[in-house]
Amino acid sequence: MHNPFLELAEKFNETQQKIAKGSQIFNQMETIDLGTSDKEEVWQEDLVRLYHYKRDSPATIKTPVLISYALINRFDMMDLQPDRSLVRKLLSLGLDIYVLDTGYPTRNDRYLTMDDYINGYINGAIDHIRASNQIDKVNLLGVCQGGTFSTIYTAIHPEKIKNLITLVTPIDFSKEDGLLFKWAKDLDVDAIVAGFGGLIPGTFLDMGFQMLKPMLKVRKQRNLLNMLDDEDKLKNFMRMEKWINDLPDQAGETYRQFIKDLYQQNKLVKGTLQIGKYTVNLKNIVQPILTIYASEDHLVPPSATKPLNEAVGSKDKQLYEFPGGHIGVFTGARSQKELGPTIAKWLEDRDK
Amino acid sequence: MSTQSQIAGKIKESFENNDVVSKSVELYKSWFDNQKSLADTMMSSMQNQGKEEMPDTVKQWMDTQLQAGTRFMEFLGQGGQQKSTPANDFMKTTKDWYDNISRGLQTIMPNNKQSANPFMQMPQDMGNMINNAQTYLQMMDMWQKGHKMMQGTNHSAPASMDQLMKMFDMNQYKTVLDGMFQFMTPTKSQNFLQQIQQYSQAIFEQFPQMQKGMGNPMAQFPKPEAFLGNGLQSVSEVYQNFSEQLHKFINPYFSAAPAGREKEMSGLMLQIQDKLTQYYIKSTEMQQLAYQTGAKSMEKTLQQVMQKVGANLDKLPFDEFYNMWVDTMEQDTIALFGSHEYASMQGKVVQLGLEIKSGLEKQMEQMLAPLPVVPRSEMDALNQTVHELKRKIRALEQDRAEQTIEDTEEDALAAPSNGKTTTTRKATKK
Repeated sequence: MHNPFLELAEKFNETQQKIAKGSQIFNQMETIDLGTSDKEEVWQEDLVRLYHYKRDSPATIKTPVLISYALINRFDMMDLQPDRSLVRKLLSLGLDIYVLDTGYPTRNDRYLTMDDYINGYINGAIDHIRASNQIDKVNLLGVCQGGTFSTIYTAIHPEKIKNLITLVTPIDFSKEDGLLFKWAKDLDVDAIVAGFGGLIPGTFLDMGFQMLKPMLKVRKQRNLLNMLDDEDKLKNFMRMEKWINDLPDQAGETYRQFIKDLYQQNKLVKGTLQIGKYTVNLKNIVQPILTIYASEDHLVPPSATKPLNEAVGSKDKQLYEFPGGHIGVFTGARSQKELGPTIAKWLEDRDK
Repeated sequence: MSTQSQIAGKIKESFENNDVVSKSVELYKSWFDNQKSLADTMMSSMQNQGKEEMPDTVKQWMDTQLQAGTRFMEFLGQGGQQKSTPANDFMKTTKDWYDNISRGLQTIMPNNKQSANPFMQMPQDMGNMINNAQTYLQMMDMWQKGHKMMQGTNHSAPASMDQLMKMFDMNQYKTVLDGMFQFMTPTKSQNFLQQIQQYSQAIFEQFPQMQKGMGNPMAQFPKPEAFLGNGLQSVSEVYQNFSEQLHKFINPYFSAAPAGREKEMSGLMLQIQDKLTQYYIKSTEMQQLAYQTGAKSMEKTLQQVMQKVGANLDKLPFDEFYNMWVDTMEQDTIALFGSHEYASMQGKVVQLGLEIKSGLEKQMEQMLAPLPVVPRSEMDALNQTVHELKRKIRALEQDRAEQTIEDTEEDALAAPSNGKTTTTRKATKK
């Protein structure tokens, strides 16, 4: 028969041992570093910086790639740790990579709009890459919200983009199979922007993500107790936690437009989205396009991603389903083994 | 010296041989030696790294371990003396044990701010872990009480849902949900309502002439205690009644009072009070929905328990029960969050909360107006101007860049070159 006293005694001893070992590991641990691939800052405007990853040998795929990440969380998810780094994998496969760091907006930046990010910073970074490499076009790889911005950018400035890759990118916001999409329809965005004084706290945005998996923290913290005595697992956990908790605030005007025009009115797909002086027409995108979505994505469901290929004017377009969730695209073992090589091969075939 | 697993083996053996009492001193010594050895290693490695202040942390940690060890060995002694330790004692020890874990986890968080310990970067995460350990503990407490109630029942007979539901203390379960969702407890609710009342009183202090003429309408407003615990309907009714009365008294003043800061300030106060009350009602409605979902999840979990082991709870380890509950709760909560009812309520609560914040900030600016400080609104206006100027500069630069490209292309047509374009940059090249 199950003996609860014996179970307790064993658990007690086991847990004490784990706490002791965990204490040892924590005290010996220095800082937890993310994004350790070597890179240098090559361009900067306001709080936005462009980094160029260093390579040991010349790139075999000549056209450089600019990674445009979301304004939520930070781009170092692409380079979480040496053995879980999509960036390292792509470098090893011969790519020349730049990444745009949108920094940590303050109240001074509250009036930054989508136009500023797309026609200002992304355009500035792309012009820099074109000029410094003496080329007309670059490859653009957009991630999540950064993918939406990249798609809009390509539709506005098709002459500057050779190939477009989107990863887990929301395009069709009319879908209701993602909770974020459903909740956003009931948000009074103006009250939110006004209430937060024009700067939306990263923690507020994160609250929505946490609600998508309400018991995740309960599970996660219990798992942490179980891994306290395993240094490697613990460090991996800490890296991910550090990334999750690194939450830049967001410029209120950008947030206002993103929620109203996209989540609530789906203007991108309808062809009525206005960015600065441009009306965005997805049919202007005629270059090769690779649309990558995650089959189990609870943040950006496939139904919101896949319509991109129908909406663009490109003839060379490919859909790639990644088996996993939104974050697993960057950090899972499959990301290293399958996704990285798929992207590199696709670009190589079009690097003429 | 014994390893921890050897000690665990000895503890298990002692239980089986019923000689826990006689062995307890020996076991305690082995356990303590082991802990001390770990601590020595830890101290030595930290001293090697030059972390001079760390040994204090280790000392604290050792003290905690010693206290926990002592309590645990006392428990072992009791367990050996009375083979069927009452569930209450068992729970007390379990609680102590979890308290000890929480303390242990807090201890390994660095007290030394100069430490490079990575937990420094995620205190919220650590806090959550401790809170979640408490969720686990509370659920375990309920489970153990259920065990106790089932003592003496016929295990071969299938348990009814009624029996199982009675086993669990739903008030205690409500506390678990309160902790998980950070809900308002009765104390918090009371404080909240008192704040609303104080706020309203402050409004009337602004209008002494009205109080003289009409008496104090607050006297007609029931005390918060009157409707706490009476359900949402009474709160809504009271609010409606209060709101109507308040506006009836306030409106004549507002139409008669001259425009000015005092009138504006009073208007703001009234709006904030109004929104505070609405916020309270809406968030209570959300709370009710979450309680209903939590109760439904528990019922479903118990149905699974009944199907699996019937009344014989000894066959089901607590962790399995806990995981069943977590899985069910997650599914039900996601369904709740996905409902239109919840989504619209959440949108309203967020809106009200932020409107209250905006109102309070406006009031603060009004209060600071006579002082020589630049309020946020003026800084915002300045930032907006700077932003507009930057946009204009960028547009001019882009026009110039496009013109440069067109000129280059025209030149290229006139005299073919290597076909490469140039662009201008407005930003800094590193």
